[in-house]
Amino acid sequence: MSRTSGRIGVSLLVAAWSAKALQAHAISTDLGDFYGGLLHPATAPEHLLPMVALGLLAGQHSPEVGRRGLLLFLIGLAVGLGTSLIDPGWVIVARLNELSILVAGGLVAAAWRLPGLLSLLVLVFGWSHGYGNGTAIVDGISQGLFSGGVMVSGLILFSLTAGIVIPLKAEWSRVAVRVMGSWIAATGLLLLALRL
Amino acid sequence: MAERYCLRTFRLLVVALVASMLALPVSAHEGGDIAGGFVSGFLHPLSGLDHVVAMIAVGLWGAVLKRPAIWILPVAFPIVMALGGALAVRGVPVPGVEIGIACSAIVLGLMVTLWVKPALWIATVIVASFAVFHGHAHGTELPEAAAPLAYSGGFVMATGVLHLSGIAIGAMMGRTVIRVVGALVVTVGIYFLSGALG
Repeated sequence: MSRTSGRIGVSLLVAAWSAKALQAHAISTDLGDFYGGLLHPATAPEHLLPMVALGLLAGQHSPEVGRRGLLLFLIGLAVGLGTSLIDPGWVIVARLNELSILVAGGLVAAAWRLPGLLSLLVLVFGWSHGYGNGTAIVDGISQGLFSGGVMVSGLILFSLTAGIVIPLKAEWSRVAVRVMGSWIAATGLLLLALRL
Repeated sequence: MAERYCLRTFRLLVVALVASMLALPVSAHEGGDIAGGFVSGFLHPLSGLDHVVAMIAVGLWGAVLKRPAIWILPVAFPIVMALGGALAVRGVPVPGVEIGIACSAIVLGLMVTLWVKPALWIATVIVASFAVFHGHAHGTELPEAAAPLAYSGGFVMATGVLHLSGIAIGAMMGRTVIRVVGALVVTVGIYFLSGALG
């Protein structure tokens, strides 16, 4: 990813998240549902945190493993979105998404390099978060546009965080990543205690 | 060059994540105010001087112990603290929470003042034991929070920031200053202990 596109991507994300009165569905354009999907994972901490954690986890591995992880994550996301459209009533998926916060964050904190486990986790959690986001598609919302927005959001979140972490070499910077992982894991643990 | 760029973007990402928590009416799922929940959680450790000095002392002691404690403690502490918080959320009582928090300031402050350097596992056990008390105190208010996930993220992050403050002080200041700060931590701990016992 080039430096310029990276800065543009980050600036767009910050601008979107800092909006005071944000209309998730721009009714004046046909792309409103796309923006709704784009911002849905980014405005829900239970989706945002694990997606960032999975990106951090992929970034702690080699670039090759990270690229494979991105592909598997997007595949999982797409399949999950599709599954939710067929049967949106699986309540257990919400618990799985909450568990993903703890698991992904914990693995980042531990900094265990397990490419096989990473591949499995990004696929499974990509599916569960795709499903979770897909259940937000109610009557009147374009399934295709909303799903497209979710996919783009997932692509940005995962690839941005992984892309930032991969080149980090200094020990303190890699420790900082592990600290972020522990924060995410701790948050996930508390949420699970509350929900279970 | 690539690493410097990534570090800059990493900082921007952290800012973006915090900004996402602060974006006021944007809330895809949680019924409560995410920004309010995050700020409330973030302020909780900062609103108690006993919490503040103890967390700074954790970072200070990590700096005294040097590697690998300087990074093991900030990585492990939030998770153990969350365990204490989970106990509170599940209604499991932990006796003497306020006494435990005050004692954490006293003990950790003494470790810094006296420049005590035990084996890593002993230091970890000491810090982890006190982490449970702090987590329990924060977790007690979690069920009432309108946006519990944001609240959790807030107080975990605030705790981490305090650790980093302690590490920064330990990394930049000389031994005398560090010991003086440690003594101040002990003093605050004694004050709160007398209040908890009185």
